[in-house]
Amino acid sequence: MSKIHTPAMEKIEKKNAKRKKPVRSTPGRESWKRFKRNPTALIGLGVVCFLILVAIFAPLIAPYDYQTQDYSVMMQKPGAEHWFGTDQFGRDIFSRIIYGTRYSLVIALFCTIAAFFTGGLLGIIAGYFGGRADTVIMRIMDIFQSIPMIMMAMCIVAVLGNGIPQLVAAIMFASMPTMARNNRAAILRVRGSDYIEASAAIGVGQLRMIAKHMIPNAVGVMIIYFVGFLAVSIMMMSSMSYIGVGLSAPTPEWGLILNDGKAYLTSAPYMMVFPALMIMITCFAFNLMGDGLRDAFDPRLK
Amino acid sequence: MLKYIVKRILYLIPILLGVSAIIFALKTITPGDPARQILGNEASEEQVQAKREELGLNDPVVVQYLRYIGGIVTGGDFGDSYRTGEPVLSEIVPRLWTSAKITFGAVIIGAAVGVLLGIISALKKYTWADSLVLVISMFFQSVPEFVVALVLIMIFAVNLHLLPATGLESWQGYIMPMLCIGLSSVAGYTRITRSSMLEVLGEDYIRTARAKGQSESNITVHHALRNAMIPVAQSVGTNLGNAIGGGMVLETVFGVPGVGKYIVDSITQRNYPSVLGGALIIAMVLTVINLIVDVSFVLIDPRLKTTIISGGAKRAPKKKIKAA
Repeated sequence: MSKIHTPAMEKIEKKNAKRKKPVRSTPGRESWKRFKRNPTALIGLGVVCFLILVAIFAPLIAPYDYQTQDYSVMMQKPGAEHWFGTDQFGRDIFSRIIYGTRYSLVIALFCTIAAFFTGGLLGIIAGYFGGRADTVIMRIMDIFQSIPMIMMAMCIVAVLGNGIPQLVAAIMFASMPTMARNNRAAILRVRGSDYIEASAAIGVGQLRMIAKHMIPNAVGVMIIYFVGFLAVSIMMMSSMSYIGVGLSAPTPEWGLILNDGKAYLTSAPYMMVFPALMIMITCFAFNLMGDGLRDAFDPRLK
Repeated sequence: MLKYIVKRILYLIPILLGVSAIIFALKTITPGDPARQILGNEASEEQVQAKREELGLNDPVVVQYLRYIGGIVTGGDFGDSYRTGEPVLSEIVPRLWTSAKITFGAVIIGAAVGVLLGIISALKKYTWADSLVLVISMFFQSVPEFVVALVLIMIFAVNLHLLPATGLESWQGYIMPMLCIGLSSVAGYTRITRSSMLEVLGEDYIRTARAKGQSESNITVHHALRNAMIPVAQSVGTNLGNAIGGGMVLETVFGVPGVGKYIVDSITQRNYPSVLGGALIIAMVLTVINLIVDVSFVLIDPRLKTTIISGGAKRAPKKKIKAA
């Protein structure tokens, strides 16, 4: 008997053909689904991606060099030639801000990675081994935490001097306790689960336990802290360089651009408006994204 | 209770020793020779060597550290400023009061606004008001304090001429610094208030209160809020540290003669004893204040004792999972 073809049946068949194979549900896919449904998180992600592109293609986007001084166009108001105006040395503020994206994002990334491999690792060790190791590590972190984060960073930079490696080291040390605490909490939550107990029961080795069972399950929470910390390090970096600690001129870091414009707050406010906006947008975007990630990876925390 | 308090006070000792060790470590790696700094460039090499011997800079590091601790404990000796030659302690103390006033105001502003917003968003959960509150508080959390400060200066000082841009000559000078530091901590308070309010509102005693016909406002204020405030109160201690850190930057922006500005100025002048001595004093004061805050909350509500075990770090569950 041949198949009966009615328009209605064809429609259904077409629809079935279009439908993709059922996807296996994994925690990652579930999280992405939740993330996609969150409009503010998507805005954050979009802005962050845009900033990364700006940082990569900075030389193509910026119309001028970021440190060429042109005394014929000093202190120009924003216009067609110089979109964001020029500063007291005739440098194009738009180009400086574009290059600044590069500095801010890359330094923030270095700071976060460094903090993760020191404080984060200590936290993982403390959380996994528990007992005496936990007590010793966390007590040391308590001590580090008694000095306010930015004060610690400033003291380290004061001793080491200005410069990018010094700044990274300073922010790394200052953020170690927070990183350790967060990662320890992430591991502890996984540690209590039944599947960890089960793997321990069938004799999984320690290294394999950490690398294959604990970290993959705690990685969502760790990503949340990672993204959140990118924003924190951008904030710390710009705050410090604004008051003249950490980086020195002519680095086009946003805080430093603001510092350059400080003296002209009343006469040329445009010199400060754009870098300030840039810092605001960047930090806000990272935080929106981080918040979205938190809701996506860990709906219980909401 | 007494045992707990004594334990907390004893726990202070290792923390303070540790903090001073960190500062001492930074002190040993500071560039330049302190003896040369004191004597000036004209001094001969022999004079510098004699001074080094006199200051004990040729002794082993451990001996130097013990002497450093000894100096602090017996004579409050945090070092002498390179610039003025005065002891750092006597330079810092008058400035502490200025900073304390601003930090105190900021914590009050931050907590008041944060708790209020948290209550609103908990009562109106999952509505536009809830989302709006969260976005606003997150905005202030994610923007560095000094950028908020610059925007406020542009609006209120430069354009409207309502408030002075810098200085503390009149009471108006306090408004903007307090506001900036306070606003940055709003998000934390809002989030904690919201989640703890939501938790409390689901409790049985709230249902009981509703069942016996209490008005909604009465329930919110008397039954829910009082219980929901516990985690909020606990977070004040951590926020204090952030407020002081934020104050360091803002005091410089607003030209407030507090400890933060003192340290930042000393950094630019390469006045290392003032930077490190100042930082140590602030860290010590902060640690003691944190202790007082913690203990007083435990006195108010003994249930907290179980949640803040010495130092705030929760212990790992005693589950043995070590394989083989």
